Amino acid sequence: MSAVVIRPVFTSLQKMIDSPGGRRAADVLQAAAANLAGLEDRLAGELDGVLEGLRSLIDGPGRGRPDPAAFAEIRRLVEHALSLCGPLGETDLAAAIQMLGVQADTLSETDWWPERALGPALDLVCLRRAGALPEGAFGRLMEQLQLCQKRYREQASRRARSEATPDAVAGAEAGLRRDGR
Amino acid sequence: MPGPDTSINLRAATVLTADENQSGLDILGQILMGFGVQRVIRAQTPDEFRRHVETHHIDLVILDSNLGGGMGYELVHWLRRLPAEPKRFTPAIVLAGYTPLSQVEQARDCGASFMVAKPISANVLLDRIVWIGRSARPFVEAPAYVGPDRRFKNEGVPFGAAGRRSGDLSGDLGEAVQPNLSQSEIDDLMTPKRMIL
Repeated sequence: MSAVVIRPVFTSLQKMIDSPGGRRAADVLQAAAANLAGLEDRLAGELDGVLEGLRSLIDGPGRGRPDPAAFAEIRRLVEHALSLCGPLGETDLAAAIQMLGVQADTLSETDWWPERALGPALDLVCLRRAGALPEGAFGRLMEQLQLCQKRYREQASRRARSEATPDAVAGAEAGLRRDGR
Repeated sequence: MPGPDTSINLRAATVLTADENQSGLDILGQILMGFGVQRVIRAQTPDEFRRHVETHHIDLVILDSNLGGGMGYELVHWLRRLPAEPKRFTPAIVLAGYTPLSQVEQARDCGASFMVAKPISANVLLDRIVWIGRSARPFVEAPAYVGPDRRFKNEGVPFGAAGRRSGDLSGDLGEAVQPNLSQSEIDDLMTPKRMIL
């Protein structure tokens, strides 16, 4: 039997958060929004640069399936782009970028690679960023990408089944199901 | 979400922010300064993160899970196992771009106080900071886990299992320490009586 110790802890954050001399939540949120507004132009330019980087990794001339280093770079750029979307209020764009990242993660687990496998997600990201989508199109295209992702997930679990022991297959499938991938 | 009139005092807080991107640090810095935090320390690498933790008193850590190529969870794990007591209790918020269940479990099991999905907003960050500051979660130390109590509901020890914690109560009934009450004594306890005052 292992020992588990549970004890109450009173952190310095707990001591200060309700101490006298505080400011109203509405005021601090307003101040944060004003501070972020000062960064918007710079962040917007940087976001365009990050999306350009993604495009060259995924859709550049002669691009096929990315190698492991390119998948890692895609993951890094997706994380970076998601950070930038917050202050810019780009929630739809963030959802599309997230989908691109999830698809890249799933495809990195299988050798199966249909032509331009990440192309549709990348196209949606770029169209959304350019404001070139007609009203209502974003939701419909995201639904299509969900269906794509379902297919990618099936391929990833098929590969796991063909290469691994029965226990490993069950584990991998449980992991994919759990992650909703 | 704290109400708009809720008072929050973070003026004296020292917050360590860690993200490999300069812009990520700028975004966090601007949000925290808006919250009234006057001291924001920045780290762009795991080594910088460790050095700042070791040399400063930190009230709150906010770090990107992707720091150092995905070392964010390991760094929280390291923080929780520091020998210096106040340091290892430091609240830690992990930011992550994807939040599939496996990542949320990783954040929970490394000892993070909370995980916030990107893109972050000032509202969500403030909500989580206030929640951590007011929740008074107990701290758990076990061979496989060190960090805030992961149980948001305490439903007791699972049926048929022996509790491992010193505060766990046994499910077995002990011997009576006093004679049972008679039915009339029970009725007296349960039935309202008219009294003259």
